[in-house]
Amino acid sequence: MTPETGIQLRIATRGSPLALAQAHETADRLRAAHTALADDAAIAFQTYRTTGDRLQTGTLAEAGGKGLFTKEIEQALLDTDADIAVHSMKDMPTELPAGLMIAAYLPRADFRDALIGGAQSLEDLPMGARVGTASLRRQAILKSLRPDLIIETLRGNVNTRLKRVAEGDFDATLLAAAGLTRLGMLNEASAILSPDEMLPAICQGIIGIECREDDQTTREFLAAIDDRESRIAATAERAFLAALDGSCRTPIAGLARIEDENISLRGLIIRPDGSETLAAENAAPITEAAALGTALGGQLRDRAGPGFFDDG
Amino acid sequence: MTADRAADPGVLLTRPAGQSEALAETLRNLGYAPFIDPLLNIIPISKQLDSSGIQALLFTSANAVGPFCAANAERDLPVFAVGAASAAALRKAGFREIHTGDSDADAVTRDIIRLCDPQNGAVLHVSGETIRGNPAGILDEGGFDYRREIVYRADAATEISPKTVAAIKDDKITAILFFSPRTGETFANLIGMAGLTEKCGGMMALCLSPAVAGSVRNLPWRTVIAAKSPQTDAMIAALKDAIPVSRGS
Repeated sequence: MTPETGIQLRIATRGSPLALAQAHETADRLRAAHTALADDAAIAFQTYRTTGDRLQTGTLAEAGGKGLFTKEIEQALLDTDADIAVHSMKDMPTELPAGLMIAAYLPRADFRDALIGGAQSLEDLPMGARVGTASLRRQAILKSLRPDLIIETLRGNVNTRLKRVAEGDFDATLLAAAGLTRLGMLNEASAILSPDEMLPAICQGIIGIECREDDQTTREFLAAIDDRESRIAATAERAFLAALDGSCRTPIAGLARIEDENISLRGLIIRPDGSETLAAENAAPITEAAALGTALGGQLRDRAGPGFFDDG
Repeated sequence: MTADRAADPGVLLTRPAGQSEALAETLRNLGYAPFIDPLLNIIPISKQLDSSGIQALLFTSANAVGPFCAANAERDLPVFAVGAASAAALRKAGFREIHTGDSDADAVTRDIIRLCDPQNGAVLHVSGETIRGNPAGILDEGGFDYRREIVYRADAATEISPKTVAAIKDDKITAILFFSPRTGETFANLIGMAGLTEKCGGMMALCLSPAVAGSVRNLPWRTVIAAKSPQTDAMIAALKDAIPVSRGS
């Protein structure tokens, strides 16, 4: 905190339009919750270019996984160069660096995947259509549902991917509906896919806000905007992922839903070539969200055995 | 039986009654003329089901879910099932713990051995009269007490419907979709009884899997194709590849 400048809170964020939109949404919620932050100058934005941002080709798995989008930002927190970091939880490793914590979750946005390119459904895609995606989960599920499709790696921010489809480099791509919504671009989607067809990534649509564990002032700021349902869902889904030892190298999908005081969790793992899918679901009281995720992930891990995620 | 514009390629759907309508709508939107002629009729067998001493349920067909639920209120047992369709039916019926795989009944049965302890009770296999694979043998080998309850029978049609016969005679059917070996076997019997075997030479058999393709392979088809994966979308993709249509033509 730097009171002499009027800045009460420094937000570390990536510089992509989507990351900035998420950071501003967080700031708006904090301003609404705290008079100390109500002044525009009270919250400062600091953008960081992460290793993941510098990579525009190849899958994330090839480059080293999820931490690529968080490392530099988390270092800024640990160095006390920033107070909070705003993350898409689907990009977050299951283990945080020592000394950091997710202190708040925003209400979950649309967890579904959006289809871009004009097709009204996956079955509507032309035979042998070229679909670009860097997500191993999307690649594997697409290969399972539509083995005829030509799946190629497409990376870059939302605008880059939309442009590549518009220019005809690809017939279609898949993007998170939540990201499109936050950018005011959901109208770019030709269809929104049901989770029955395309189960989302772990924590898709959930934004988490990270800070130092020992920064009580910031933790109190964040406590006021923490969304209970998002926190419970993220707890279950991340426990599921951790039990599977999941990373960007493994096609894993999962979705928790909360109804009254109960949580249900659906998860699946799929071979990278789409040749076999194992799925599981169960429900529990919300107080047992982590145990539910751990158990479900462990069961799928036991069923899959070693080598399940190896390339065929 | 339903069909659309005469110019659209005719596709015959042979799944049990009530299971082809959604696919027919999809195909109609893609520019095909779907014909529906169920070659199997699912008949629930009404009975009392005792689930005492059971630790897990095994469903190898989604057709067994409805009859089981009508006969037994148990929804808290873990369930092992084949395929996403079974998972959806089980979820809708109120089951909470559902383990599914999309390979085959034997693979899902082996999942029971991996996750369950034989000491905790028997496994109840809820099924139709005909089953594929060897769940009993696999569970027995794993030290499990295996029980089986037949909750439906799949009665084969005794004839191909007169409307389908007419459509085949008039060369209006370009492809026939088969989703199970039993349906394929039934068709193979009935097409011969109808004296139309040679008409297969003008049609394509499009099958959910190589096993399904095997059930119709002895007919003189123009082509027999197995979908690249056992998914309805993959069947549709194979159909679009083999018989392209352009909407609005």
